[in-house]
Parts: sequence; structure tokens; C-alpha cells
Amino acid sequence: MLPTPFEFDRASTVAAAVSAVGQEGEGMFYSGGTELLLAMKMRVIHTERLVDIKGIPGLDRIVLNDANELEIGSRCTHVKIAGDSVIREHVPALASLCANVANVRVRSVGTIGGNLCFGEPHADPPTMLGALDARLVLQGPNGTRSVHADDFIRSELETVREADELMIVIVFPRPTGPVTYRRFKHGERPSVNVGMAWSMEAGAHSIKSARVRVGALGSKPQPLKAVEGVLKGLPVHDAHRAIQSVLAAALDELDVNEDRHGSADYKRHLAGVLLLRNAEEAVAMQGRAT
Amino acid sequence: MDNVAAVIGMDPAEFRLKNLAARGERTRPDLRALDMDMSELMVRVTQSFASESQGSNRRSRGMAVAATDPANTPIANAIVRLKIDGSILVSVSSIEVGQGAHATMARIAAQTLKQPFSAVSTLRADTAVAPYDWGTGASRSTVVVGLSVENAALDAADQILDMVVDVWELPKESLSLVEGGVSTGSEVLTFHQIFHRTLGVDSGEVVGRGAITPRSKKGALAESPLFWETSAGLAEIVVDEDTGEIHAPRYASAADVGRVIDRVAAEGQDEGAAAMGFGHALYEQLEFEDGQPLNATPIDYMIPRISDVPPVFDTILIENGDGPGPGGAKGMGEGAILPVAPAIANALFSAYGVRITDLPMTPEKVWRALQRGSEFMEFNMSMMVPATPGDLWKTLIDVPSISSCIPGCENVEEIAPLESYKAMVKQKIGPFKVEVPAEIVVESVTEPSHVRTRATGRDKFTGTRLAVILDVSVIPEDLGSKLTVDAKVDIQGRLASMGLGVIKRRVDQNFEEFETRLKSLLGAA
Ligand SMILES: Cc1cc2nc3c(=O)[nH]c(=O)nc-3n(C[C@H](O)[C@H](O)[C@H](O)COP(=O)(O)OP(=O)(O)OC[C@H]3O[C@@H](n4cnc5c(N)ncnc54)[C@H](O)[C@@H]3O)c2cc1C
Repeated sequence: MLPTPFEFDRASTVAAAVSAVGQEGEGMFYSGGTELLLAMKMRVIHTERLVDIKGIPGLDRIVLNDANELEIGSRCTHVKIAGDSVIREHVPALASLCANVANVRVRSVGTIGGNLCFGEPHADPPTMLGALDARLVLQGPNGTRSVHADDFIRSELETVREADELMIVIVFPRPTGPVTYRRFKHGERPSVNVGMAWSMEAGAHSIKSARVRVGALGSKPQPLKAVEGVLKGLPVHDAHRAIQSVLAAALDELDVNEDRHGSADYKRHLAGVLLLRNAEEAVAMQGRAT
Repeated sequence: MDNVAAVIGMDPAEFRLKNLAARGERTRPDLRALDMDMSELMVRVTQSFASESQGSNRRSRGMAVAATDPANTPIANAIVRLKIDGSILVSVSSIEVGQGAHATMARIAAQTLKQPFSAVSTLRADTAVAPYDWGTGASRSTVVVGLSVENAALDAADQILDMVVDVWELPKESLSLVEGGVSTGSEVLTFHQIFHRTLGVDSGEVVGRGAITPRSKKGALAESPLFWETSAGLAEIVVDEDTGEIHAPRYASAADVGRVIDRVAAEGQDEGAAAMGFGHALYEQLEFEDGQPLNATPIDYMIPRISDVPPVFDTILIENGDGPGPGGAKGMGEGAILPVAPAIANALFSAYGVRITDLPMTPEKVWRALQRGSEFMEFNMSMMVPATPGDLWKTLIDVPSISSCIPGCENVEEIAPLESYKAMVKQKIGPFKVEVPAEIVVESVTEPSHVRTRATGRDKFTGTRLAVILDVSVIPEDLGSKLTVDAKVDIQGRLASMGLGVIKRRVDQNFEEFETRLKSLLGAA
């Protein structure tokens, strides 16, 4: 099907894009178009104005900044992140996540900003960015604000972003310990995914704190608080057993939708399997690092 | 088949070989007798795996064979035109949809007329021009349309030879077609020379016509099916026991195709069919809600990609030249789809004793089946022994005398003292015979109070896996020692799914017997 008619605008600055979307009538940012154009062709999304942001310079940078944080521009494609040397050095798990999203066509034009802003509940990056404690920087007509990755997705396909706010960059502290990520999929998108990031005490034998996010089960990624709690301050080699001791109760707390991707008890079980495998990998990574 | 084989304790391949209909036998009175050997297919797929050592514990194998009777109505026509420049045009109504039918027709014409393949073009089908054909389907084109192309080519050859007979006044028997013309025995006349002398102009062609009807070949084509479309498949799978996901690292497919006309295309057909088999076996399922399809786009409807089919894929095409088609060819390409799902299901059954009967075998279904399929059995006993812990310990680590207390345990062999042993456990349970060569590993020893051993093995006949974890503790008491034995028995595999109840009762009896023998050995109460 052809989309219903719309205007097309090419912005060359963030300000121009923001004001073009904010003009009268409903406008939308157009990045890789891998979600948006499909939805427009199916006529489930209609917009009066598409504002192409591909021509805005500077939105596809990846750097380690002076504050020891990683910055990923919202216009970075999955392919770019997967192959970027800074990401591969500091967060290889994110590089491999991006290398395995979707298919090669989607990866080469689809962007991380578009992924986040679409708010698809079976997406990979939101889970991982929650575990990495990322901030998402939005620029609107009245300036910029930053939102924690955990707070960004409100519900299925719904985020806290205003229609005329452009996501410009994703920022997170450079990890100081192992970061692991696993997904289980039997189809195009994950049925469940689990991201885990440990920050380490100096000397790197114990876990200072841990962040664990489980995605694709409910409308947005969820923390596993009990697991985070039990890992705090723990020697690395006790991590696996400690997780096992609280796992059943922690999994019970998860909000799980039953859908085509599986029934609730199965997906809960899978979350546990992925988490334990992540833990094994993290222990092994830390073993190599020290 | 595998279910029946498991109940009677026979290897499923052997069970099939014993019962397969042989070449020439009829499976139904109204269908042609089998025109091939199913056992040959089975042997060939098995040989394909033979180079690899037996599957490890994590890998399991399953086989299936299949035969189907395609409705390949023997009605077709073809036109073959041989032109003055030696080029050949084939006109048929077969539709080319990527299966390679047109290239195959060109090959048949080229081979019949002894001309290079590059000289032949098959015209795009246009039913206003091309002659009547019953239809493209049922694996029939190579055989039925191919035979009509062969006939048309022979007709064209006849016409060109007749020109030479006529104009050069030579006996027909002395003539033969060669590349670019006709050999008379002493010289080669080019097609150009023949048309030039015969027609008196520098242009022209002969138009050969070929037809196949149920009456052709003295009615030999009339009986249905024209040939049996058959295949055997052997799958090796690895199951992620935590998630239920099935990976198939290796697959072998064998089909009896009579004769291969175009190898690349033929292998492609067989492999494509098997890939579709993997689709319905593991992935494809249309889902509906309130009458609406939920996954009617390629995003949501999962079809295997090249990364989802086995990386090692052996395609075996058996050629005995005994088919009804040109040069003994049979139709092919559909058979390979059939054995994939049952071969995978049989592999799953052989390793875990779970039988999934509705496709696709999704990870969740497999996981649920595994949850149900594996059941631990636990046994405990304790007894008072009038001996000091030290003395009791000595008796306990005398492995040969302890194992003599286990019913059916024979040939205990020490590999390394207090580390590893081998033994054979033989049992007859109801109708089942079990013979498990077991490896026994001592996992931990705390002298003189505790020893934990693990015995594992796989039954020779049914592939059923057995694992026993035995915890033996010696506790000092006023009047001697207390001996406790805790055993956890896990049986996975065909036997477990066929007769868990019977097995449980037998294991119970064995433990009672063990307890009695042990008590008398130790003089315990
Ligand atoms: C077949 C298929 C398979 C997929 N599989 C996966 C998968 O396995 N895992 C996974 O995580 N994802 C998957 N995806 C999603 C994929 O990651 C996204 O389609 C892609 O990243 C979206 O980026 P885009 O630039 O194309 O977004 P667009 O389609 O251009 O935009 C999507 C939405 O975000 C808005 N938007 C885009 N950029 C910005 C911005 N900078 N600021 C504000 N709003 C913005 C648009 O207005 C639109 O509403 C899949 C998609 C497809 C089509």
C-alpha cells in the first residue's frame, strides 16, 4: 500500500528539524525509516510532514568524553555501532547486540535513536541501555533535557518524548566491570532479553554494584532488584550461586505478557536461563581481566 | 516406526530394514509396484554420517524414510526445431519458476541430437504457441514433458537424416548425428550443407514433434504413479536443554532419481525441499486470532534462512538409470521435504524419550516436553552395622564386593582406584531388555565418612540414558556405625517414555535387593 500523502522536509540543523516538526499539523522525524515507513505503508501511522534528519551533521558521532562517559549519537546505525572501535573496546556486548539486531538491511539504515523512540517492547537496545544506566538527551523548542533510559519508555510504543523533541545523543558511564547481554529469539525479534552490568571495586575482586534489566517480557525493560541486591559487595566467584538463591523469587516479580513469543512461565524461565548464562560469562570475563 | 521399535527393543533402522517393502512389491493394489530400494536410501544416508564418529552424548540422530505417489499424468507435447545454423529451439508449455525445467528440456534436446547445450534455447512458455501439456506439477515435467522433447528431437533427427538419405543417396544406417551436422562415415556434412543442397536456399529448419499419451511405450506409462518419489533423511540435532531450542548441525538427504540430468539444479531442488522441511519442522506456523492472521508478513512468519539450516548438508542422488524418463530419469524434488520433521522428532525421541507430534517443534514445546520427560527417582536407606566406621569403610571401598550386591551388575573393571570404574548392568524389565555399559566416577571422598559416586551410561538397544548419583555416608554410633545410602536415578530416553512405571517398580525392587544383599554382606541389622 502507498502511504497517504505527506509533505517532506529536509532539515540541516537540530533547531530547524525541531521547529519543522512543531509547526502546525502533525510532523514526525524520519531517520532510517525502517519502522516508520513500514507503518506508514500499512497506513497505521499517518503524518502530515516527514522531517528527514539524515542531513543534520554531528548526530552520528561516537566518543569517550572527558567525563569518562560514552556518547553515541542518535543517528548511529546498528552497523556503525557494531563496528565502532570505541564501543568494541569499552562495551563489546553492545557492539555484538547491534551486530545481531534484525537483518542486514535494517541494521545498515536503522538507527539506535529510531529504535528507542519507537518504543517497541521486543527491542534489544532499551534493555541494555537500562543496565548501562544511560541518559537519553532530548532537544526540544525550549532547550534540552535528559531522561534515564529506565524512564524513557512509558508503555508499548509510547515514550515520554514530546512529538517535537529530537533525541540527539545517548550517554552512559564507561563500564568498569563486565557487561553481558543475551537474547532468546525464535522469530524476528527477541522473546526475552537480559542485560547485566557490574561495576567493580578497586582491585576488581568484588562487585561494587550490579544492574540487571530484563526486556521484552512486559511493556518495557524491568530491573531485577533482588538480584541486584544480592550481588552488591559480593566476591565475583560467589555471584552465580548468589543469583541462583534469589532467582525464583526475583523472576516471580516480573511482569510478563503471554503472547506469540511464548507463555508467561516459559518466558520467565528463559529470563533465568539467560541471566545465569550472563553471570557465567561475566565471571569468566572478570577472571580474565584480573 | 521408532515408537514401535522402542517398545520391542529393536534399533529403529534395523526395524525398518526388516519391514520395508522391497523393489517390485506393491503397497497398494491400485498403485504401481515400488520401483526402487528404500534400503539403498537408508544405507546411503547412514554412510554419509559414517565418517563422523558416533554422536556425543549431547548430539543425537534420527532417521526417517518416505515415499509418495505423484499424480504425474502422462500427457504432453513438444516441438523441437533444428535450424540451418545448428541452433535448436525447444517449445513446451512447462512453466519455468526457478526449478530448472527449461534448462532440463534444453539438456534433453541437446543430448538426443548430440549437439552442445549452448546451441539450445527453450522458448518462454506461451500457450498460444507452445503445444498442449497437462500441467507443471507433481514432479512430472522432466519425465513426461522430457520424454515428449526426446521424441520431438528424435523426429527432427529423423527428418534431417532423411534429407541426407534422399539427396546423397546413402543408406540411413550409415548416418549418425555429430556436433554441427551428420556424419556419413567418411565425412561430416554440416547442417548448412544439408539444408543448402536439399532446399536450394541458405535458410530453413526441420520441425520435430513429440507427444506422450497414456498409450505411449505400449501403455507402460499408464499405471499410476509413473514413478515413486522417495527419500531418506538423517538428522543430527543438539538440544539446548534449558531453552528447548533444537539445532541441527548436520543433515543427509538421499533420493532415488533414476538419472541426474542437470546436477546443480537437481541438488538445488532436493536441498530446497529439505529446507522447507526444516521450515515446517521447526518454525512455520500461521497463527490466527478471531479469524484474523496474526503473522501474515515475512517479519512475523518465520521461514528458515540459510543460517537456520544445517551447515553440513549432504545431498545424495541415487542413479540406477531405471526411471521411465529420458535416459532412465525419474521426477524429484518433492520427496526430500518429507523425512525432515520425523527425522528430527526421532532424534529428539532417541535422546530424551519425548515425542512431539504437532509441528512446528518450537523451543517452548520441546522445553515443556523435556520438563515432563525427565523424572528423577529417589531412594534412601539406612542400616545399623556392628563395625567401627573404619572397618565399615574398608568394606565399602572394596568395589568388587560392593558391586556384587547390585542386581545385574557384571564385569566391574577398575580404571583408577577410588576414581573411576567400568561395569555392565544387565536387566530385563517386562518386555524390555536393557544392557548399559556404565562409567562410574567417584566424585568426592571424605574418609571414612562419605563418598559420592556417579554412574552414567547409555543402553545399547534403546539408547536410553541412565544416570545414578549415589551418596554413601558412614556415621559413628554407640554400637558400631550407621550406614546411609541416598540414590538419585534419572532415566531419559525411549524407555522412560514408554514404561516409566514399569522401570520405577523395577528400580524399587533392585534397591530392596541391594539392601538385603548389603545387609548380609555387612552383617547389619
Ligand atoms: C524486520 C525487522 C526486524 C527487527 N528486529 C529487531 C530486533 O531484533 N531487535 C531490535 O531491537 N530491533 C529490531 N528492529 C527494529 C530496528 O532496530 C528499528 O527498526 C530501527 O533501529 C529503527 O531506526 P530508524 O532509524 O529506522 O527509525 P525510524 O523508522 O526512522 O523512526 C522510528 C520512530 O522513531 C522516531 N525517531 C527516529 N529518530 C528519532 C530521533 N533521533 N529523535 C526522535 N525521534 C526519532 C520516528 O519519528 C519514528 O516514530 C527490527 C525492525 C525490522 C523492520
